[in-house]
Amino acid sequence: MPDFTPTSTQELSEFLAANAAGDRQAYQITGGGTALDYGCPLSKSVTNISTRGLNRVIDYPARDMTITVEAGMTIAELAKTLQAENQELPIDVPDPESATVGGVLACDVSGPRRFGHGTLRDYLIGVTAVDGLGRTFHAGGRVVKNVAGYDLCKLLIGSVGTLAVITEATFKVQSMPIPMASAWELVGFEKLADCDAAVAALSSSVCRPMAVEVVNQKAARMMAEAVVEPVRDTLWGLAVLIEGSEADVQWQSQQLQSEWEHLDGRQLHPLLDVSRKVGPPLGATATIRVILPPSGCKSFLELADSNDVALSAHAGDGVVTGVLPTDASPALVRELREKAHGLGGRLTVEMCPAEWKQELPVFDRSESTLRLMREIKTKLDPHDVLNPGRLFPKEDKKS
Amino acid sequence: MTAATATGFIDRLRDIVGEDGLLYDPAELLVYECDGYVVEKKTPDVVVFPTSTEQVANIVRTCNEFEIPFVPRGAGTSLAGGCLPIGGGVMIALTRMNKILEVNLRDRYAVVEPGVVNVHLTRHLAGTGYHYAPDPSSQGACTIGGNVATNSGGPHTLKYGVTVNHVLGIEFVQPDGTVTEIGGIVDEPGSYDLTGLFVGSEGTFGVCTKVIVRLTRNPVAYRTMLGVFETVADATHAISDIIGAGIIPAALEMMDQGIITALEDAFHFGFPLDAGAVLLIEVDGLEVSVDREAGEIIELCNKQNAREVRTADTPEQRQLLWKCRKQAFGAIGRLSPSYCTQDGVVPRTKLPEILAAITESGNRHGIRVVNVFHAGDGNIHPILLFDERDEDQIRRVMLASDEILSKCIELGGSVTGEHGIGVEKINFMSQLFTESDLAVMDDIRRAFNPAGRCSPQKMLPTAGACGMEHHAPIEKSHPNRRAAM
Repeated sequence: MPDFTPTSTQELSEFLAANAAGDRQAYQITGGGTALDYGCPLSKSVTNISTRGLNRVIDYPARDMTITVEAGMTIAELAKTLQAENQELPIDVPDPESATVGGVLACDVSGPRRFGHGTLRDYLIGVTAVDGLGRTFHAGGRVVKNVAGYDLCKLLIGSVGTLAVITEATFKVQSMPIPMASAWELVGFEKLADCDAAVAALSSSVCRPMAVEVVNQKAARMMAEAVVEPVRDTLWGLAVLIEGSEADVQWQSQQLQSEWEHLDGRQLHPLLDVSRKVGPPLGATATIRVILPPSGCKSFLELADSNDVALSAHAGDGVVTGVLPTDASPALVRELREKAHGLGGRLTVEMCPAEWKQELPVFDRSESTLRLMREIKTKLDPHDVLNPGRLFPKEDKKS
Repeated sequence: MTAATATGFIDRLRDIVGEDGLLYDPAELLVYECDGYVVEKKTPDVVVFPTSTEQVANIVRTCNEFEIPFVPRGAGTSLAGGCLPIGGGVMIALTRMNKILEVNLRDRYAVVEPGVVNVHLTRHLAGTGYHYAPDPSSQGACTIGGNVATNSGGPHTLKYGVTVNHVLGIEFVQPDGTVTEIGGIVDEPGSYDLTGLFVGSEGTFGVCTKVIVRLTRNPVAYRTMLGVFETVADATHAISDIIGAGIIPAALEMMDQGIITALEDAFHFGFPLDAGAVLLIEVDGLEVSVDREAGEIIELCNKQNAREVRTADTPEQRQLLWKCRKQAFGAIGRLSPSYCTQDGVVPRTKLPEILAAITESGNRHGIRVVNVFHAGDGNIHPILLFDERDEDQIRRVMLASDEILSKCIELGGSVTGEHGIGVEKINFMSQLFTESDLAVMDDIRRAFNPAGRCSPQKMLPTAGACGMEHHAPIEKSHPNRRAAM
C-alpha cells in the first residue's frame, strides 16, 4: 500500500478514526525516515503514515519567542525560519535536512549541547496529536508557562509514535546574541583519569560550558576520517563548547585555558572538530547508547575502551555513545550492560544486526515503568495500530 | 458517623501511624479545611501524618479496603484548592516526611522526601555552589512534594525553568497502594516520560513519597535593578521590549502602586510611593556579561519613560528587594481583610492589553485590584481585594476574576501558569480544551487512578469518583459554581 500522507490534522484524525472502526490496520509513522531502525522491531506488518504533508509554520510571534509548526517540517527548515529572527531551538539534531520536528520529538533526540541547554522537554510547550482511535488532542498551549491540564507534551516526547501521531508542536525558542559566537576548547590526555578529573573540575569553573564531550582515540579517528581532518594521537580527548556573544566567548576561552594550566597530563592541541561530528561510520556493526550518572563515566569508558569500542560521550551528562568493533558479538553488549547497571546506568542498543534484537533487549526499563506504559498505551492506542512493537517487544509481555 | 470516622477504620489507621500521627477531633481538623484558596472549605474526616513510604502505602491500601477517598497535602499553600478534601475522607499530610536523603554534587542531584520545605533544600546546599532552582514566593513554607503536584514556578523560573524542568524521578504510592518508581538519576530511554507527566498532576496520580531533583549551579554574578515607571502601561511596554529584544533576564517582576504602598508600609525599603509601577529585574551569568545585559535593559526601560532605574549595589540590598517581592502577599493584609490571587498567562507581548483589561474589570465591578507578578513569562497575578463578610463583594470578585481569565484565553493564553486548576478553575477546562482533549486527559488519569479514589474531583471536569457515587461522604463543595476566585 502507498503511504498515507495527510495534509491536515483533521484528515489524519478521520483516517485513524475510520481505521479504528474498521479493519484496524497497523501503521508506521514516518517523518524524514532517519530513525526507522530505532527501538524494537515492528511486531505487525505495517504501511506508512507520512507526516511530510504537514510542513507549515502555523504561528511565529517572534517577539513572544515561541513558534508553532507542523510536525513534518524538517529541523533545517525550522532552523532557517528561526534564524531569520535571530532565534534558535538549541537541540542538536543529526541530519537536520531530513529529520522532522515530529520525528525528533518522538525519538527525544539530543546532542552535545544538552549539557547547557537541556533537552526537548525543556522547550516543547504545546502539542497537537491524533491517537490510535483517531481522537485529536491538544495539550499545553502557546504560552511559556502553563499548568492547565496534564502535560501530555512530556508524554509524547520519546514515545516513538506508539501513542499518537504528533501533528503540530509549539516550542519556546531562544534568542541568539548578535553576533553569535562559539568555540570548542580542546585538550588531549594520555590517561582517562586525568581527563575525568578535568571534567570534574569544570563543575567549579567560573565558565559555563554548553557541552562537555569526551572521546577516545578510536572515535576521534573515525570522526577524523569522516570529516577528512588530521587527528593527533592522544588516547583521550576532552572538548568543551562555549557560546555567547563574542566578548563572552573570548573571556571564557581565556579563562578555561588558564584553569587548565594546572591540569595533569594535558596536551593542548586540537583533536578534532567536534562541531562537525557525524553519525557512526558506514559499515558499523552495532552502536550503543548508555546513560550514566556522570561520575560513572570513567569506569564505563575504561571497560568499553579496553574492548575496542569507539567512544564519544556527552560527559557532563553521562551520555556515552559507543560504536562496537566489527567482530563484536551480543556478549559484549551484555558485558557492557552489566557494567552500566552496576554504575546506576542504562544501556540502549541503537543499531545492530537484526538477529541481535532477538536475544538482546533493546532498552533497559524498570518493570514499574513498563507496567504504567502499557496502561497508557491501552488507553490511547487500544488496538495497537501505531508503531506496534516499537517499545513493547513480545518478551516484555510475558512479565 | 461516616465510613471514614467509623471506629474500625480509625483503629486501622492508628495501627499504621500511631495515635500521634492521627487527627480526627473536629476542632483540630478545622486547620485542614482549606489551603491558600479560602473560598471553598471542607474538613477531612481524618488527617494522617505518615513518616515513611511504607506507612503511606498502608494508609492507601486501608482507604481502598474501606472505599474511602484520600488526598495528599503538603504545606497547604496551594492557591487553587488542590488539597481541598472533596467528599471528606482521609487527608495524607506529608509534612513529617521531611528528610533530605542524599545530595550528590558531582552528579548534580538530590533525593528528598516530599515534605521537605523548598527553601530548606536551598539552605542545605548553601556554600556548595549549587541550589534548587524553582523558587515559589511561598518557598519558606511550601513543600517540594507540593511543588511537584502543581509544577510550581517562581520568579527565577523565567530563566531556569519550572519544577518539571528540575525533577528527574519520583517514587509514589499508586492509588491502589503499589509503591512505584519512575524516572531516576539517569533518563530511561524507550520509556514514556512518566516523571514529566506526573509533575503537575495535582495529586491525581497517587501520593508522591520521594523526589529526585536536579541541582543547578549558582550564577557567578548578578545585577539586580529596580525600574521605576510613572504608569503601568510604560512598565508593561518596557517588559515587552526587553523580551522582544531577546533578553531573558533571570527574573523580571512587576509590582504596581497598590502593592508598592503596602510593601513600603511593611518593609520601609524606600520604594517611590508615587510611582505607577516598578519592575524588579535581575540578570545573572558571567561577570563579563552581566553589566552589558544590565546596560541594555536600562536603556530599554529609559526608552519607555522610566523615571529612574536603580541598581542594588550590595548583596544585602538585593536580599531585601527579593524579600519584599516574595513577601508581597503577606503585606496585602494591610490593604484589605481578604484577597483573591489570580493566576493567568498571556503571550508576553500581550501584557499591556491584559493589564488594561484587569483595570477595566476591576472598575466595572467596583473591586480594587493590585498587581504583583512574573512579568517576564507573561504570568499575571492580579490580586482582587475584598471583604469576605460581604457576599455581594464576593460575587463581584468572582465576576471580575472570570472576566480576567476569559480575557487571558482570548489573548491566546491560559488560566493558570503555576497555581494549578485544583477545584477553583475546573470549569475553565472546557473553555481551554476540547471534549476530546479532556477525554484523553481523563484516560490518562484512569490509567493511574482507575477507581478515582485519589484526589477526587480535581483538575478535570470529568474527574468524578467512579464507582463511589453510592458513598455518602462524596459531595462536591460548590457543584454549580462557575469557578475562579
